[in-house]
Amino acid sequence: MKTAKLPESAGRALAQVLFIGFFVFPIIWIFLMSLKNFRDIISYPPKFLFSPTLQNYRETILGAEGTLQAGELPEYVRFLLNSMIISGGAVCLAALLGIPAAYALARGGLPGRKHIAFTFLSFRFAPELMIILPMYLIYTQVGLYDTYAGMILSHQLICLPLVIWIMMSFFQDIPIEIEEAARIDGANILLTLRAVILPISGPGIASAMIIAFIFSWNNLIFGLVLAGPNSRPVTMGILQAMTFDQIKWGLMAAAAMVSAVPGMIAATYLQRHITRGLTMGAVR
Amino acid sequence: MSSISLSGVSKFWGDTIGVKDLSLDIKDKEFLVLLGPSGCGKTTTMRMVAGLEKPSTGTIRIGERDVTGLDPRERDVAMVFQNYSLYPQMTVAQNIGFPLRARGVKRNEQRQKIYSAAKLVELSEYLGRKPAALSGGQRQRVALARAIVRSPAAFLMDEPLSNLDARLRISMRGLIKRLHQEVGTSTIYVTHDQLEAMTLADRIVVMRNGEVEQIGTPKEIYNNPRTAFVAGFVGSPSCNLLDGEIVDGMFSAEGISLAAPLKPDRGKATLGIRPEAISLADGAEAELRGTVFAIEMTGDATLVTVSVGEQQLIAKLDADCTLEPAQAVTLKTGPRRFFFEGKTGLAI
Repeated sequence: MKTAKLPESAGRALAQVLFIGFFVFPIIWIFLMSLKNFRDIISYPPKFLFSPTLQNYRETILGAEGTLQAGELPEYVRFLLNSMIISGGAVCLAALLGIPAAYALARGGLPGRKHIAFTFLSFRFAPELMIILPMYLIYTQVGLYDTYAGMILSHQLICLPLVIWIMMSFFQDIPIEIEEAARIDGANILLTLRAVILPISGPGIASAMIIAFIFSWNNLIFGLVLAGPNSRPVTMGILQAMTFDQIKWGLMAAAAMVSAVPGMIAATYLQRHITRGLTMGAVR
Repeated sequence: MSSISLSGVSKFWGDTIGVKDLSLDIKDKEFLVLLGPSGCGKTTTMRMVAGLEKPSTGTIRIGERDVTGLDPRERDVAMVFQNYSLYPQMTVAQNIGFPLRARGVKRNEQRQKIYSAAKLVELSEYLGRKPAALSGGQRQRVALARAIVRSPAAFLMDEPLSNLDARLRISMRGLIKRLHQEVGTSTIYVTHDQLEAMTLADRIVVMRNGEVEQIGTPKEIYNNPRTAFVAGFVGSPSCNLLDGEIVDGMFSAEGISLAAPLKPDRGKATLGIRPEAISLADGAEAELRGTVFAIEMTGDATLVTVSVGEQQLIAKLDADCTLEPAQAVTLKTGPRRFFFEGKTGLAI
């Protein structure tokens, strides 16, 4: 019995290794690249053994030596801060608007609420490229171009549908009797939301906000077109390693690694919540 | 504390009839049980009284007030749900106190009331716990305390015991009965368990397909069922219903022959006999003849299933009866037997 199962489990292990390798290898590769000097990066065949250097990280985080004036932040750090402000702001705004909207869509007797919910979802269907040029024109005319407010607004196209859909299925999973009990107990809708629904929804809200944050953080196209020198996000910072005459692969790798850190931390620590958020309502 | 009255209340969802033209008066301090199989409209009726469902027609009054269009929170009723419906993130004390908090009762007063409600349901030691750390019975007691804490005009209980195991159900039943005697608030209690209905109710309303089959005290319902459905639904094991024909004061079917009412003088009919009203008989007094199909011991009695012609009946006989399967038996019935019209099922 046991021997008969051996090839099967070996096959499964192999499949798992391949599967994990497929997803983890690019990250490992970029990580290794970020520790190499330029010569090691472009050497062929690729080097797996080399003497690691932190030079790329130093230059990314502290700026190239001699290029900074006193009191000036290195470019990459400014991009990081910009991203914090943009993604943080976008997620907060999306939660503020999206949670009540999700509740209304999940529980309110709104006519056509399925269509409304679907409309929100459809924001995620079209590639951002489709709307980015009209947005650029509007932004330059109303003065939102290259502002935090403009970036936060544009990121609602990413965050709001996510928050609404994740929270909607979360709210739908809360037994309706709990709300009915609250209504009979004499609570108005505000007290029901504040004292009953929101505390139960804590994990859902957390996962919705984290997922929205990751998507917003990783977005490139809005930053590329709608942001200027004042509000470029970190994804643009990675692109700065591409200069007119060369591509600084090591810097790019280091910048990519640093910018991936918030998402990785969030994903690892809150893995359980995230999968719950993404699969919420899938199984009843 | 107040009376509740429903007049001409109906509930439709499109073509589906939930409740049809229901009129009902629940007296002050009365314990009224809505009894019926699932889908009979009993829960819908209660939800309309609670305000969770709007009636399609008719009016509902609680005390002197017409509450038909009012929101649940304006009706001053308290409800206990089948699945407890506690607030999972709140402690027992916060759960019990929530109705007071929602009504802006002062903190000090809240604390006193929470404590005395908890004491009534014997939960004083658990006030700091969360619902997840309680057993099913304790959770339902929290729900009961939450209902009594603000002395509402009426209690509504929607199958509160059906998620509990058999033993707990009996002790909770006792608790509910005692609470009602102590607090004295008018109560509407929904159940499909006829034993709960019999033991708790001042009056029972038996419902079927959205309509009332019979309203009466447990005794009336048990002793004088108005329809064959009521006879079959109330009592355990349930009442035997045997089809046959009445001709000139005799009810007969294959293996059955016994005296029946003189009117109507002929026609199809259903005979209802409670299992406990059947006993073994010698040849001369035999009213039912059949063969033993199955024998079940319950400890205090023996339930014998007997094939009579094409039909079967259950007789509740002595614990020490010595029948064997496939044995021929002759039985007689006691005075408590009912005859129903074959077509309408109404008592003759």
